[in-house]
Amino acid sequence: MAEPPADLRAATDQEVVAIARRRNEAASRELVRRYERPIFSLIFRMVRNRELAEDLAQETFIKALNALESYRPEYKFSSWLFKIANNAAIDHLRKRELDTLSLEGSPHADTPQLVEATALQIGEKIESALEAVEHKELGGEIERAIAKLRPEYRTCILLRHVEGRAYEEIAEILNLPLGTVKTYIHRARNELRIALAHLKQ
Amino acid sequence: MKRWPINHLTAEDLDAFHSASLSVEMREHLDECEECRTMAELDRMVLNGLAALPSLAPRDGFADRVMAGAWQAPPARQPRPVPVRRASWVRLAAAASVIVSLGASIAWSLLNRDLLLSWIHLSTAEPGRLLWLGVRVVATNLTAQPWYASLRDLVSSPGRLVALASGALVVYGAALVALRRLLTPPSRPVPHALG
Repeated sequence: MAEPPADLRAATDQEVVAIARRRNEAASRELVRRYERPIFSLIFRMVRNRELAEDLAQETFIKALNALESYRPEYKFSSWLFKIANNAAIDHLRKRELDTLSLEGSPHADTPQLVEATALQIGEKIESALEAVEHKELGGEIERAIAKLRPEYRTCILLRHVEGRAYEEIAEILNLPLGTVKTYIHRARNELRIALAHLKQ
Repeated sequence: MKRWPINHLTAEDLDAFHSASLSVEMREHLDECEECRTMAELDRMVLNGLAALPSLAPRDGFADRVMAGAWQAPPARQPRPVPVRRASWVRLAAAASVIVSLGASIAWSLLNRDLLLSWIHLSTAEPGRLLWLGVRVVATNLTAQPWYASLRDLVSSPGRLVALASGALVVYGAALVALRRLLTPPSRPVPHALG
């Protein structure tokens, strides 16, 4: 894959979008590079299926890149992108119910190759083997607890506490009143506390 | 948020607890209330766990696949089907046959003028006579009906006629309004977003 030029990496989202609008491939790639992980992570945790998450993430970026003309620069680019991604995930969830989360691979994977292909690729946050085990235990519990939340609670909690988005931005992304977003996050945390209470003991 | 009957920690208090900006009153409560202390510690664990969730990466080549999809050339337009043009001799023959038919028709009319006039007379006089006969039959039947006299009395005075016409107009207007309300689409648009 060709790396975008250094000056693009230093540019703001708005500047890169302005260049990408002129069908500039390097700028478009830079936008994908910046947001592929957060967008994929959000969608994966919503739909809980790796291959499907990749398809939906790909669809999100293709839609966004082909609709850059309709993007209004007074809004944050990331909010606009998360909105498209969330819509894609929610549309999919409305169409079908999905299985429980598997960190080791899709439950439908019946060959070792497929298991490997569908297993999660964890990022660089884990440093040591011990930490990896601890993180995997707590992380797995949290992932499972998140998977049991209602989709609207799930999006809110992921955007707020995993992606670190402000309440106002989440309200904008989800087209919800600010008070509703706060309530959803409060209820989601409450459900997560109940689900993880046994770890504390 | 209302604290009643006991001043347990609210959602805002929990956020304040995490950002170390909890009020003195609530800190004192936290020292005394085992329930709230457990909740706050559990909440901290949840938030730490969420913040530590790893960033997930799509498989290698994701950007290439996106670019291939986004930069795909739009599907080539199908050429519009060109209407099949008939050969010019066909059109010429059709025009010639129309002209010949018209000429023959005019010539025949000039040669058989009397016969044509008698046909015209017959075709206009007879239907008129039949129509008038039909109107008379219908009128006679109508006036022979038992309710005809009372209907005539009802509309005989101009006042009654006006009242009747007004009533009919009101009913007609109400029906129009009802129909319009039935056919009006919902005033609130269905929310949607790109995606």
